[in-house]
Amino acid sequence: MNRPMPAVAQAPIVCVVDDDQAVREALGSLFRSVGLSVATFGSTSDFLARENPGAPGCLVLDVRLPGVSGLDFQAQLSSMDNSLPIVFMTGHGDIPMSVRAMKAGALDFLAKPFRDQDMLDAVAAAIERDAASRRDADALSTVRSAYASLTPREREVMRHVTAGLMNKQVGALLGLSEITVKIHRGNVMRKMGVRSLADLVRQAEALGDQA
Amino acid sequence: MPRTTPFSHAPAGTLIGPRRGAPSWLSIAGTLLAVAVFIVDTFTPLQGAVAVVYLVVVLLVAAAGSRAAILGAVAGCSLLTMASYVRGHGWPEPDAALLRCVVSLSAIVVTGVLSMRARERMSTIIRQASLISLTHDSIYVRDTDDVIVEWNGGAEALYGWPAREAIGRRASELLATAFAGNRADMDAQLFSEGRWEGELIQQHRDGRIVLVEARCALLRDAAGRAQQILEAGTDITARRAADAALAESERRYRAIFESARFSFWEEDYTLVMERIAVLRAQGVVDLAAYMEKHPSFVRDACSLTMVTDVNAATVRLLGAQRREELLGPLDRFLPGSDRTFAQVLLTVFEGTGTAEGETNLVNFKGERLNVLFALSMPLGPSRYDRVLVSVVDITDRKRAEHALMAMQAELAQAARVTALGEMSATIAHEVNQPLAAIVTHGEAALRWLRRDQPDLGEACDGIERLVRDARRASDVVNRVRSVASKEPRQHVRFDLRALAEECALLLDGEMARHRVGLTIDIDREAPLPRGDRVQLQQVVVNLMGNAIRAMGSVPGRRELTLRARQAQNGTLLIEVEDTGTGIPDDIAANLFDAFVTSRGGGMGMGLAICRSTVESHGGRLWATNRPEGGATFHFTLPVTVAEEARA
Repeated sequence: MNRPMPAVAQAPIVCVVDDDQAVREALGSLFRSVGLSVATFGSTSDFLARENPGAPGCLVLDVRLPGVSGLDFQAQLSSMDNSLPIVFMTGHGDIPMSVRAMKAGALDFLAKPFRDQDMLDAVAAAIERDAASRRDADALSTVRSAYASLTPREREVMRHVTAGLMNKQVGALLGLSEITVKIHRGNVMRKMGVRSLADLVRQAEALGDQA
Repeated sequence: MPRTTPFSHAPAGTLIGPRRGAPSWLSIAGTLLAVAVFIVDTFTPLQGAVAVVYLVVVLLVAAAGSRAAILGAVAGCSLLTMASYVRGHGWPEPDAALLRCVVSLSAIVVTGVLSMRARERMSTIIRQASLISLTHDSIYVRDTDDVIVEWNGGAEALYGWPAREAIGRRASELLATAFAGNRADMDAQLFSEGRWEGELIQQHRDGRIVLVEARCALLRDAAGRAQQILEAGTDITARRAADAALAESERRYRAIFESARFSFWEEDYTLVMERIAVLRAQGVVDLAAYMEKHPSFVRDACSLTMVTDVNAATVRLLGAQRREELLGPLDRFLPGSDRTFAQVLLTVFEGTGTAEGETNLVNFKGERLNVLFALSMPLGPSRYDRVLVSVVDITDRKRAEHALMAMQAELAQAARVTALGEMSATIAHEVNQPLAAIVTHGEAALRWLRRDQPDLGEACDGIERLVRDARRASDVVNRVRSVASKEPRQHVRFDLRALAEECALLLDGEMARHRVGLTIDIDREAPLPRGDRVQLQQVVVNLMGNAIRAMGSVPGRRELTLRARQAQNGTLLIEVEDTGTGIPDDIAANLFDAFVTSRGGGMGMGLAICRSTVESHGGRLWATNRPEGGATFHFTLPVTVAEEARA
């Protein structure tokens, strides 16, 4: 009832950021040849200014870019809460650089010239990862809106119940009768759309500090 | 004056030759007497040997006259005697008168002969006496009671007393004679052997002390009794003072020599200089050139140079136990690689006085020391037997310098590696960009073609771009090459010898560390090379450095030779030869390729760069292994054409 509308399923878009036009063209042709939508950008600022920032997909990013480097841009995106998976490309990949990129969450690190299949596999994996994370994000936002619909007393009851207290103990803590606690608890289970205490505990964990 | 005294204290002139004042009146008296005797003998009836009085005439003349005058007097008196006889008695008849006449004549002749002999003896004595009085030595005579009886001018000069005041005084009182030894010993020796020599301390009239070297002789009379003592003396006060000053100077020199913190050496070059003199005699004019051509001569000369003395600092420096261990031939301490000794020889030979420089010494532990030396010839340019050399050990300073240089070299190497890494990253990026595009275009095109509905348009597009990008990649490569060769090249002619010396200097530390001896053998007739001096020096340093490192692990002889001579085709051939391990077979084929190395720390760029440098100069670089071990790197260079050389 109170659940938000699920995000409209969009075709994934592969975004390519490389300062070299030939590389952009070649990747565009490659991705199109396997039926993927492609958007190419000559710089990171062009990418940030793109029309559809919410589209699912992945980012194929060259490490060495004019201005900000690929690795710094990765950090920048992360700080902007943009979780778009990144596949790195480099003309002269070295181990420290790739380690740093992978630690920061890069999906793959391909040295130019790469094999087409490696690139396609990496991109496919990245798109899958994005889809999964988007599903997770959707689920979380459903839980959040359900939680938002609880009264303050119900939230208190939920906190104590998910912390493992018996109804009687909760009643004693909050100065309520056990019956009242039971009623609040029933409301909570209904509003959060769960049937068991275990599910409720999972949701409380997903909500984290907000709970 | 005592008659035994053969000389006089009178002025010398009165003793010499016929007396100039006396002869006239003595001769005149003799002549008058002769005339008187003749008159008496001839014109008076006195019967008797009046003619015998002629003897007085002869004696008078003899006392004053010369040999000729005596002969004249004898002849004259004889003639007068005979004339008187003839006048008185007519023709001779054997009677008493004739007998008297003969006796008179005999007496005259005998007197004449005796007078002549006496005169001869006298003149000898006078000559000797005059010599004695001429000498600057002091001579005086004292009798057995020590009373002075004779005193010459020298004695007056020495002691300040004139003869008239000295004679009659006791010698030991007058002169306050003091003996270095015992007076009794002196007398004992004098009376037993008749002579004594020694030093006396005596006093001048003005009270100053004089040091006298005295020689005493005992004069005996005919019976052998000691009668007088002749004492000759020489003033050695000044000489002694000079000796003492010299001794003091020598002592101070010794003290400085011994106690100096510097190492001091005294060396004897006499044998060497004899050898050089022989060479000169054989017509060798340019000694420097000769030694350059005959390095063995220098080596021999070194073994003929003798260390005659060293100080304590030297003993410490060379790690010896005793000074004596160091004395002897110099070549034990000078390593074979020394290049300063020839210069030292020239300095010593030409007597220019001083030479200084930097060289190595090998100490008793076999360690190589870096030293500064300065050579001087304190006894003058022709005294080869005592050449003074001072040596300062700068090994530690050198070591620090070398450490610093090694560090700098490592830094430079690191910087080069970094720069190279940087550059290769850039090049890799530049080249990989188009390569990535090419490959991807190709693969994408294949995918377009392999679709169920092949898309020829997309495929062709991709392939066109592929071709375009391949061209671009090739442009990148060309651009990199042109950047690398952008440095304009300086083509100049230069002195290979100077360049070789600089290289040797640069690698001096490394050679010392690996105990490598260097021979630079550049043919004097070799033409001047031409090219980029800096680049070619890098080539030579690189090859020499390789050679030194190639010998780093071999036991025994480690000899590096840099040789240059004119090649048959008119170019200059330069060779760097070592006695190292040689070139391993497995890398011989691609020795000059980049990234091929047999050294852990090497990048394998050195020889590749060397070869490209030499080839860009129009030369050739190749390597051979020597049958006796080690390797030789050869390269050729174009030479200055004749017109330029003259310009």
